[in-house]
Amino acid sequence: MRMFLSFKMMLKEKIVIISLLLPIALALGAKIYLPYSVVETKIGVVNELVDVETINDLSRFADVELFDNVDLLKAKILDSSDELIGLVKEGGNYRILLQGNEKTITKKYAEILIKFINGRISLDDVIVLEYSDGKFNIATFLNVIILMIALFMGSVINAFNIVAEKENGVIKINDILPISSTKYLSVTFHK
Amino acid sequence: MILLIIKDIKLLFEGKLHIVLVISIIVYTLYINLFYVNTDIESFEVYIPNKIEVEDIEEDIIVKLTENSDAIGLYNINGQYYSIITENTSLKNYNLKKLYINDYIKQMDFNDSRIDVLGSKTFKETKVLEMLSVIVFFEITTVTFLSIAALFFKEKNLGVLKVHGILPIKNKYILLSKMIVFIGFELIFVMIIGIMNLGFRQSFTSLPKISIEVILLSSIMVLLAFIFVVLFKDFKDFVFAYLILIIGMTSPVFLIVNTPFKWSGIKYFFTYYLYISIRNVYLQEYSTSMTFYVIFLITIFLLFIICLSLFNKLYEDS
Repeated sequence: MRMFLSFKMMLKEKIVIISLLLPIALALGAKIYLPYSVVETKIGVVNELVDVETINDLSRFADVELFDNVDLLKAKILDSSDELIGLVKEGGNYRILLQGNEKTITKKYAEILIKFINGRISLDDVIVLEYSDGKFNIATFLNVIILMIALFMGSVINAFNIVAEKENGVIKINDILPISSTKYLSVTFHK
Repeated sequence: MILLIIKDIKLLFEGKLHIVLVISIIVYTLYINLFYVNTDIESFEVYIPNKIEVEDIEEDIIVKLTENSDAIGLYNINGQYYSIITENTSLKNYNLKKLYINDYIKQMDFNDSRIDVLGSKTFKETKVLEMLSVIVFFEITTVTFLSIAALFFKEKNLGVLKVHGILPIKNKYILLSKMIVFIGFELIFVMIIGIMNLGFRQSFTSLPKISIEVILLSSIMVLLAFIFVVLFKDFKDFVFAYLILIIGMTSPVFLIVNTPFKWSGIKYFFTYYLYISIRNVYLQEYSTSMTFYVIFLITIFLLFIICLSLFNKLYEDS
């Protein structure tokens, strides 16, 4: 009965309803959006400088973005929000364009891809066996975010309850009641 | 006017805003320098078990992959290389990982290509500037916004706002006083956190431009806070609206701008434009156009007019 009354009181606060619904809404959104939201390596190539076969080869490993000229490609590379590997062909040789602030693995990927399209390495030297742990990389990341929001909202509710009690003078009444500070805190957070 | 400013400063000191700002600077600086700049991924861990039997090798690798799903297990049987890779990502990323391990066994030191570096910043420098832009934006839209709203609510609940109605002080000065005080606090915050993370020289170079952004954004947030205070009955209701604003309007912006996740719908978020202008100042990638500043100023002017009319409504109601 006491728990039911406590629950009823909690539901009166709009913020509690939001805190209950928001993680659920986010989880549903993530579930729908997930298959398309994996971060993949991006390669920018100038349309006229790289042949279709190479573009198709690169598409197996990365998102290939086509540009009309080198200047447009350079402008996009200089945008820090994206780690775009620029690829241009000059006199039969490939040249990689990077901003310089990319992760080390991105630079490594650029070098490996060039080796692949030059025929220096292939996919056949190592027999690869797949192992699935049933987890999707991005799902773990989003689960953490949703959990953090739920915890954050929960703590905000308790904090504001304490502030409201302080403003209403309830906290002063507790001073003269036979209840310790530890007990008060445990009851507050137990809610 | 000066007396109003002094009163507001006193109230903010009583509200311990200075302590919040000092702690924020310490925590953010520690976070940037100890964690955020160290998020580089250098390579995948290639795990080669020291076992003889194939079953033992595979079991050993799977234990390793369970601990670190990004690791790649590698072993050799009769001259043939085998690899075990966790399938937890897209097909393209998976293929790239396969290529990585094929490159690894070749152990080639030479590169077929030349790398041209177009930018001048390193990974760490970019990370510091990126996080500073997030912090400044977050500080103004959350700490300032909450603090000013708390101050307005305090004045509203104590009836101070209504008392102003019978005092010979123009309403606009009450708003201007709050704006000046908060802009001052934010400028000090931006200056200190800049010096601590970028050093004197670089922080003072970017200070004039970032100050303009801080003045404009802080003004908007102060005026928005006043509107929210008039619209909402108490601080708790206000926090409800605030959480929607923060979680709904700013989190996607940080995520879309600072990570490779892209979503065209972000252009419909007004917070996107406010954040991107601060980010551009720090990262110096694009110069913000004059049109943008004109829109900024018009917005502030309109919000100011709305606030003044709400002030009058507040007096009429009382």
